[in-house]
Amino acid sequence: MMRGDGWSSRIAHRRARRNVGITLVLVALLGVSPAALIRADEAAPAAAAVPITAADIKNVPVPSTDDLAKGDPGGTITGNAGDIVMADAKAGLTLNDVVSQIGQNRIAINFVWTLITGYLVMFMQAGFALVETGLCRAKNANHTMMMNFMVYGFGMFAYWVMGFALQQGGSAGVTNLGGLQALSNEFKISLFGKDWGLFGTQGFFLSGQTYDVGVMVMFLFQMVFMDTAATIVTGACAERWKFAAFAMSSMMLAAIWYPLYGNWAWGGGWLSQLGVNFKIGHGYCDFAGSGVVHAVGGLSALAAGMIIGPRIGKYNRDGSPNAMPGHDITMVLLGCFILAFGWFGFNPGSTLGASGAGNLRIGSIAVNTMIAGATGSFGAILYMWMRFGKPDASMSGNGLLAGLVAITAPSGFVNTVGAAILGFVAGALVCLSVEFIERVMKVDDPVGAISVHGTCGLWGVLSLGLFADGTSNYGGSWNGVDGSVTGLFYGDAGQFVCQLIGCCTLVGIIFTIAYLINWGINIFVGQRVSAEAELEGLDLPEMGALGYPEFQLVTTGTGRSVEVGG
Amino acid sequence: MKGLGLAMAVGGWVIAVAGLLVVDDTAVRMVLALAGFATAIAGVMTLNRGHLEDAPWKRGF
Repeated sequence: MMRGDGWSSRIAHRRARRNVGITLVLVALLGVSPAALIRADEAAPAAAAVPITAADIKNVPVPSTDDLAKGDPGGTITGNAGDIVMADAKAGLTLNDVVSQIGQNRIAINFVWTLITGYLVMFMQAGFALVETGLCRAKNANHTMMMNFMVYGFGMFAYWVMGFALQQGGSAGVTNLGGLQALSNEFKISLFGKDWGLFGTQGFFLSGQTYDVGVMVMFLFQMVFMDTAATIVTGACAERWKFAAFAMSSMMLAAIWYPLYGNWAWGGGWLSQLGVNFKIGHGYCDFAGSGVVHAVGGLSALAAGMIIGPRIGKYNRDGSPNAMPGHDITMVLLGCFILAFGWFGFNPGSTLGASGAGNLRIGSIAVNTMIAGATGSFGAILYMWMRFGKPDASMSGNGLLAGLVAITAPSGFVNTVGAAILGFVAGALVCLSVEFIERVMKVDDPVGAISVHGTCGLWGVLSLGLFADGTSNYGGSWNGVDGSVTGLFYGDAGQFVCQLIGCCTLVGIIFTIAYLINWGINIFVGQRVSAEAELEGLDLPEMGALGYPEFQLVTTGTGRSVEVGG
Repeated sequence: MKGLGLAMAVGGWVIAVAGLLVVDDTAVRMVLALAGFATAIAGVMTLNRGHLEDAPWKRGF
């Protein structure tokens, strides 16, 4: 078909419109670009800071006493310049007063945050007590409860005497709590051209220069963490642990091997300095203690459990295990909820502050904690349902705890997807570990403490080295290395190596120390009660009173007890 | 058996830390750290086997 004149005029018209468009674009670019550059140049200098003078401070209006006496239902005049503490009331309000108040407010916010979250962690002792007692037989209820009750006092005493000093004695520089400069002595050895911090030497009995407001806050917070580790062991050794041996072992944990690992990880010791010394990752990282608290507790429980041996009747001659169910599953699940609540103090509180240096990440940490706990229970319930056909209540509770244990180390460094995945893995892992420890290793653990805290604690340490996403910013550095903590999946394989070395230290050194000291206690004191006491139940022989005196408990000779209404 | 187990556990830690001292390559350090972790775990298992040799339930308890 031939094109006519109409077609040519349409093409010419289209070309004209195109040329106009190109011209307009060029004009726009030429016009805009220099203007943009000029605007960029104009935007570059920051607005000049307006200095505040002492005269400005003096002229700030303050509500009169008469105004305040009329009441302030809306809160519009309560809290004003008149509430700023003046160094010299006769001189009046000065710029120094205002600046000092800002600094003190930041530290006060951080003190209150750390203390209140510490109180939540203390309340976890009640959760542990309920979980462990519920998973034990009724004839041991008093004894199991008392171990969890007294570990608070025994552990705290030993930690006050020497544990805190060994752990934190050289940890000066915690800016969130005012610097803690009183904790300024770390014992180091020099090997292969590097300094290896081993333990602190300041803060015994919290005396001398460590009688300090900031140090007190730090002591309370660290103490409740230590007690969590100590109470873990009581679960694994329940129903046959001599009370005197428990007391000694708990005090040794609080005084010696928990603080050692705590120093290496949190007190400026050699593990935390791997990044500085060997240019690998940010050194060993452990935000709230999957390693320091839970793996130390779980591995100590494994060591003590090996030495003490299984309960009478737990294993047949051929090595096959017998189930010894606990006496109160409602107590167990209530205890799990209390622990989950307390974990809102455990993880978010480990920022040691809510003001400054990236501390607003506390919401993210709390959500990570919640999600990992939930997916942990999913992992466990799915495994049990598929494997045994029923959603087992006690393992579901242990799955929740497993997820919470696993998220503890990475909570400050991961996103919610990472938290969900690692929590789910922990839930399944705890079920596998319980079976392995019971059936293959044949170590009797009435409550699953070795699996929940030991196995999943190690998983938590490793998962930080995998899932840390590099978005956190706690003052621009961590463990003396600039930048954000980043795991293998986000580009830093070195961080995973640091976490592996932490795990090797836990298994190779801390487990060994715990084993040797508990072996010594066994030699000199004896860890285990007599067979007669164990079969009767520890309440009367060890504690002098039954946990349930209105019920006549009948033992069946195999270690199983049957309640008979009294 | 128990002494061997404890020695292996400590030895695993030595392997992992030695990796930091003798090489700079991250991949090699990771291999040594993994080997050290496996050795330490094997040490704990060996220690446990020592306990199982004279386990009370083998005697009917």
